[in-house]
Amino acid sequence: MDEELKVLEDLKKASKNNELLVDDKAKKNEIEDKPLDKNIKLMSPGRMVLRRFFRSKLSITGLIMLLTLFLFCWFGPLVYSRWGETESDRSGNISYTEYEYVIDGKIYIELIETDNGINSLASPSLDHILGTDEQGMDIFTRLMYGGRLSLMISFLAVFLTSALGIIMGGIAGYYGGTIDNVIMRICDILMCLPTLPLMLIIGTVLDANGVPSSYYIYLLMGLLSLFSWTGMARLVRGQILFLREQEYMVAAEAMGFSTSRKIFKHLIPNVLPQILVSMTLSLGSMILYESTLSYLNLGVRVPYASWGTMVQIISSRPDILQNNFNVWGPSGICIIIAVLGFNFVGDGLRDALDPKQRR
Amino acid sequence: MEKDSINKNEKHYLTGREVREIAKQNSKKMRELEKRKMRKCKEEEFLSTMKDPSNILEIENLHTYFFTDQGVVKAVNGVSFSIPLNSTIGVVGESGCGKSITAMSVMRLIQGPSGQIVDGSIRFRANDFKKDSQGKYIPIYEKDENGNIIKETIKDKKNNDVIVDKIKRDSKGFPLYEREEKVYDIVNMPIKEMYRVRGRQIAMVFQEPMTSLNPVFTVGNQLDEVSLLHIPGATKELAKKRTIQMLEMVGIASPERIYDSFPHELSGGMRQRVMIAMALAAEPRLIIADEPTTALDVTIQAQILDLFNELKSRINGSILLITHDLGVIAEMADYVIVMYAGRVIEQGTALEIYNNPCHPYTIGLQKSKPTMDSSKDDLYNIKGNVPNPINMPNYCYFKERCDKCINRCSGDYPNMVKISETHYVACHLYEEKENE
Amino acid sequence: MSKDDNVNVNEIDFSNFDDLEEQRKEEEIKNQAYEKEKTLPPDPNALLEVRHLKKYFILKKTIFGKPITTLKAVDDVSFKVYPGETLGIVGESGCGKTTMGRTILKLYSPTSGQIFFDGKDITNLKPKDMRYLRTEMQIIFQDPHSSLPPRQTVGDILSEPVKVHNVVKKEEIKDYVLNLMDQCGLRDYYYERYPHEFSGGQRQRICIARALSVNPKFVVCDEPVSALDVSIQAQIINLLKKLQKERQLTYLFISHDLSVVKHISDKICVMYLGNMVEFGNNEDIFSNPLHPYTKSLFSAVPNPNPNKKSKRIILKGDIPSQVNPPKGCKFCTRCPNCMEICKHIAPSYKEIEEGHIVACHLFNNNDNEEAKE
Repeated sequence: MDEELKVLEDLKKASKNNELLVDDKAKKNEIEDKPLDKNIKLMSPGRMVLRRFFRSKLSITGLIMLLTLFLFCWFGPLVYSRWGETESDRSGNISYTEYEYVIDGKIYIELIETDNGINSLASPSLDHILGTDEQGMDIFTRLMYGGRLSLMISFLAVFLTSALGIIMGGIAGYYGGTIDNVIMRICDILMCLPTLPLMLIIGTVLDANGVPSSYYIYLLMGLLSLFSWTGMARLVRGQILFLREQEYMVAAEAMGFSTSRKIFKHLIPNVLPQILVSMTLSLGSMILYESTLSYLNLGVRVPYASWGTMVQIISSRPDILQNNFNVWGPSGICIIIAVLGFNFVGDGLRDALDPKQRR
Repeated sequence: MEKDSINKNEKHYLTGREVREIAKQNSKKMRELEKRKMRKCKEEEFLSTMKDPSNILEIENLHTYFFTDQGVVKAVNGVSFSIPLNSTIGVVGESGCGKSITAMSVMRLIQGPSGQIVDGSIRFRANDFKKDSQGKYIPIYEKDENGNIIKETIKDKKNNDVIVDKIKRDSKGFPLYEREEKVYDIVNMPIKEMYRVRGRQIAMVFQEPMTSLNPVFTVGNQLDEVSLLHIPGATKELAKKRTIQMLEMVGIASPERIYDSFPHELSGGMRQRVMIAMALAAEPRLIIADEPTTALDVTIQAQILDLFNELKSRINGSILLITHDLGVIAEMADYVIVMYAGRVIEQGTALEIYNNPCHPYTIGLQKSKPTMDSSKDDLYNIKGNVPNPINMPNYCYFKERCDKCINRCSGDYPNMVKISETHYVACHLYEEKENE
Repeated sequence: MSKDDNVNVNEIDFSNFDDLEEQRKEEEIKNQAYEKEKTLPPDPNALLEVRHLKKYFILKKTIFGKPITTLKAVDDVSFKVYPGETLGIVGESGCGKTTMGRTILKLYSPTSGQIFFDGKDITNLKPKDMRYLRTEMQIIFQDPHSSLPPRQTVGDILSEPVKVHNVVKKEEIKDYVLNLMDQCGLRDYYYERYPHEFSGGQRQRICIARALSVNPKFVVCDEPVSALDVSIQAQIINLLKKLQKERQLTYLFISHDLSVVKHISDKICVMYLGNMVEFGNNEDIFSNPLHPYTKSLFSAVPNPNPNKKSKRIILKGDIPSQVNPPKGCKFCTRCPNCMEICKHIAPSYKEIEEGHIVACHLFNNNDNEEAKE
């Protein structure tokens, strides 16, 4: 035991001697100037988001799908401008049949068109890349113009919905109490309303009052936004309730910041990512809504094109459903691509912006 | 000033090219290691032998890395220690020193694919059940004085009397099976084979008693499950009996009532007791307690520590206690391992570490904790912060924070220096003596 | 309990204490005393004076807004803090220490009682008027991860309060902030970085710098070190002490860690389930703890010295729920010296030594020598 203790003491002495050997100051200064954390490179917050977004193959696929669609719809008509949106191909031969009537001893000859010269339901060819529909309009061209309308309308609707949702949810979440209660009950009531039957009724009312049919879709989508802001409002309210309990919000309160500063500088920037994700995801469903309304003949009407209108034909002409895939198929595929694309990108964004995923 | 700081910032962040480079390297490594984890192999491949037969766990040169987007985090970087049978080992260190990751590596619970055990070996002496050629457990039969197996009559499913060999049962009524000692190399085990070890041989008690019990099942239900799963021949009645016994053992006054209650009806201390009962249920050889008292209040912590101390003598196994609290270590552990930045920097018996701490970090750790009898002067503190685990330097990791640096500290990482039979330290200050 | 034999209170018939009439009378007498006290002027020397502070949270209401279940987070706490002092508040989770710290800062509005800050009654100040007082009193939070806004740089976080409260001229803000960062041990190049890039200790330094950016006199430190590692804890404690010396700060230091509180505080207040059970000078409390809870709390702290395995007083049972606390003395369910009277009547404050207050029936005028051991 004693020997061990001695060894220990020696060791301690040795360590003390070693300490003396060090030229302290020079050494320490060097250490002070070169902190270890400066050698380490981190990712900037922006790059971290990008990295997480692009890590998933699905979100890249979604992004490519959407980009292609947008390019196709907005730049397509500039490149391929052979046919107009509502232009019928009248290149066929017009033929007539004669009918003779004898009325009061006079002979009337009536010419009835048996073929109006419209190149309808043409199969895909060089003239018409995807053929024509029953009115002889070029499907490829209509696909591009229809896409413009469909995408634009859904963007407008989503912005309207989100704006309403953010304002209502923000008020409910921040002030709480009775205001919160009232807004949330309004949400509950709105969520009970069956939207589609309602739209059908409103469509009939609009029809009866002679509202021009080209306004239909805007009016209906506007109304739809009035009904569907509830989801966004709930999300924003929940987020704000959560953030309000975060200590940095309490700290902002303790710092004596004004209410507007707290809302706009501290709350909103922290809710934005979730809002962005939710908006992207709801774009897909808005496109579906637009096509549903158009399919039910409530939205965009022929001769104007939208993806929904282009599918609509099959409801009255089962033979087209059976024989002419090129008439209704492409727009259906476009709808699928758009909805999938928005969902993929939305999911990717959620993963990228969710701070819990931070590694 | 403005310009300066912005310039510094540019250096501070990774460029896109660097990020892609890191990701490329990582994904290659990760795929390789993940494949190894999922492979199928024969038992012989992961059987091993212990260096010292008195140990039940030997960790040697363990490397557990996390392949993150910002670089490789060497969470455990060459850790070696062993756990003798029937002892309590305390691992102490600050957050991010790799103490929990070491424990998780033993259980193979590291979250893949980014977290992987890269190198090293973890040898565990398991007391596993013997299996016959068909993969069934071999029961121990009761024998009379002449060595003949006693026969008994039982009723089979069709209510007919059948004469079978009588299986020996323990005092609780569980049938006994033949056991054998096997040494597994846990690192080499495919993840599918880990059922042999997890729960049955090594059990774990987690830090958060609030989240480690399933809220939709009763406590009894969850405890029974462990017995049913890990004890061969257990029936529902036997399992319940055993559960109640376990709950009694961990100091719960009315086990029947607790048996039927849901986790949310219990307080934090009670839940931790239930977790301990759950860990004990399969009679494991090693219990890993990962900060078992950190989430508890002081008075409840005292209760749980008391319980652990009492259990130590009653269970036939070892405890690996992970904590950041030197006080808890002193109360519980026989042998202490101090970790810093993924490496063991000092190990020794609890008394040695307390009376004669050698590594400057251990000394600092001890001095910087205010105690009930310390003075009110300024506390000693270790300057600086725990280093970022990416791109570790190749010299002593503690150099930046150490106030006893010598010239040699800029050199290689120090080796373990022997101070006494049981006491080792990784520091250049003590190396010289050894060489002489 | 073995002691019950020689305590004569046992012979009193306690059944009438359950009587509502009796209870109401008691409360009335208490309220009258409070009313009288209310008119008294605040202690001119004290920076902060809290009188009978209560904060109840209403968990359930009837449709008409009548409360059914109330959580008494802070239940009748009074104390004074003098300038330059540190008052340590100790207690287990759920004892209401955090609620109290926040109520004093008026982050929660108090249910009843009075708060005087610097001689002014701030109990009923409107939030708008309170905003100007925010530069005088600040708070440091427990969790350095959630108390910093994630989408602002350190520079923004620190200069925002300076801008809002016009602490210095616009051109000087950056220098002021850099100077402050230096004082708190932060490097200047952290200015442009985001909070998530820092470890817990550095974040806590940022929090401290933010609290001090408006030059407060009084800082509530709400468990500032309990989320940190031991070696970092010491750094932060030293930093807090250094800043206190430099800026003549007054701290209300809330913590569950007794050794930390002992190290930093001049006076200590021990809380249990919303009640203050003991209050006194640091030395008095630690050398001579009176309340059985304080005693067991002190003995429960694990000692890092394995040579000295201390004998512990281990409390049985768990902390009762705050919503439904036991009747009488709230500690009676776990108290090793519980008497019959404890289960019926809540003890009132007794000053045992000068400035050493305890709320326990053991110290009622009958000299219960045994318990004082």
